[in-house]
Amino acid sequence: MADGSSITKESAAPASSSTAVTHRNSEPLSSEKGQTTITDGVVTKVAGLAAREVPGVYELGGSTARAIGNVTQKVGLGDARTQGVSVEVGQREAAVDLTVIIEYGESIPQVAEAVRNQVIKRVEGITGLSVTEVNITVNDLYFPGDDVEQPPAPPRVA
Amino acid sequence: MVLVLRALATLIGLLLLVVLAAAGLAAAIFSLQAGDGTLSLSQLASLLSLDDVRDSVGGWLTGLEAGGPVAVVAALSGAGAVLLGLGLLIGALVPRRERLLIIERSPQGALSAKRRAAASALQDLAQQPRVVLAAKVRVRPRRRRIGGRARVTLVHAQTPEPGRVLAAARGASEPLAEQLSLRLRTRRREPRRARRVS
Amino acid sequence: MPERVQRPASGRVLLARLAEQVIAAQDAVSTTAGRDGRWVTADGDRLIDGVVVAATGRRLDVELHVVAEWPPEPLQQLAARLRGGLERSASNSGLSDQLGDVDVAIHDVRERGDTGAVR
Repeated sequence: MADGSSITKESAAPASSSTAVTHRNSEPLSSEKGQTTITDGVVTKVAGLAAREVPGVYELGGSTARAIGNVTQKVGLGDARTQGVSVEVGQREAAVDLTVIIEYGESIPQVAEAVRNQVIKRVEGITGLSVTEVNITVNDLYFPGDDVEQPPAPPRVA
Repeated sequence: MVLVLRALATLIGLLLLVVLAAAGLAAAIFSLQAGDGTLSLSQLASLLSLDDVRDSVGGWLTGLEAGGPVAVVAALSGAGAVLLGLGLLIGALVPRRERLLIIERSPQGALSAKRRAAASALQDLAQQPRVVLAAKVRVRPRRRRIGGRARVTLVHAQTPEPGRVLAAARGASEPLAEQLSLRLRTRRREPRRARRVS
Repeated sequence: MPERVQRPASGRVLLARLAEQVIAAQDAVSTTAGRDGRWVTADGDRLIDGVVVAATGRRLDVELHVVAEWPPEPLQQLAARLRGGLERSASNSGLSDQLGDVDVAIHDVRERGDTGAVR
């Protein structure tokens, strides 16, 4: 069994058919027998949930992505929490791409910075991967009242 | 209904473009050989069951066949036609990527916005002043660099102080334009005079 | 009707039961059998979800397939705790000679109340 914090990547992890990050356990308090596998989906999910924690982020993804997502969720294929999130995972590093809808009135650069910091903190803290970059694309701005149905316009002439 | 018709028109236009490109490519390839060769126009006519066309047009095409030194020019033209056809197909089929407006770039990653989203948000803000009847915004991101330009065209009701309209619309949209690293230009247009009502 | 003969449980099933108990004792972690229900161990009439025990030579390797609740602790720490818990339970039950590697696979992170299926 390997000592220290060596990390190996297996193309076919024992537990999942997707490419996964595997870590040789190196905790001194327990036996070093066994591997820990974290699927890519977990990294994506952590990044998405972290971004949503930031005030000023209304939603992830865009209107088209959400519409498609609603359909895929209904047939059990999609997960709302990973819409608008794309992650590239390596053995020790991850790069995250996010598409967000920001509430109007918030400073876009400040919200983006907060999202970046939160995503890095959560992904690094939870998965142990080092986040090399977080790219954020603002897909839309949410104006309060966007969801409220407008009353029909009155006639222009008597 | 109009949206559906527009979508249909776009789809049909795209299909026709693909068909045209494919037809051009086929004609160019089948021009590589003369006479009744495998890659000849007469063979193409036979494949498409256009025997009458082959007989009537074939004679004319035979007259066009080049020989001697002109054959090189004809071959190059044929090759060019093939490449053009391929290029048209690629242009028609490869999905368009929306150009992004880059707001910030740092070693930790980039912050960008979709051009349409930026234009839409600026339009909503520019339309906030009461005298503004409509606003049209065009966002032009810089290629591979940060920022860009936004041109706002305002349509407003007749007013003795048109300068104030511009200032009001600019005041409403400038904070967002700054956040998006956009240089804002505003101009105004009065609406066309109404004819039907007095 | 003749009574069904109750055979004593195999080492495989005993380890699977221990693994199930270890996971159940943890907060914010639950098992997953996977989308097609392949990560299970049969225990008589029932299935133990999220635990797969496979023989490798004389030992039994155990796979634990889990889902963590948001926000989770560092996942390596979580995995180490599950592994350590199973090793201690196996030792207390006299099964430590049979226990081989304990692999932990974390498939998802879910918010409380989210019951989406694992892909």
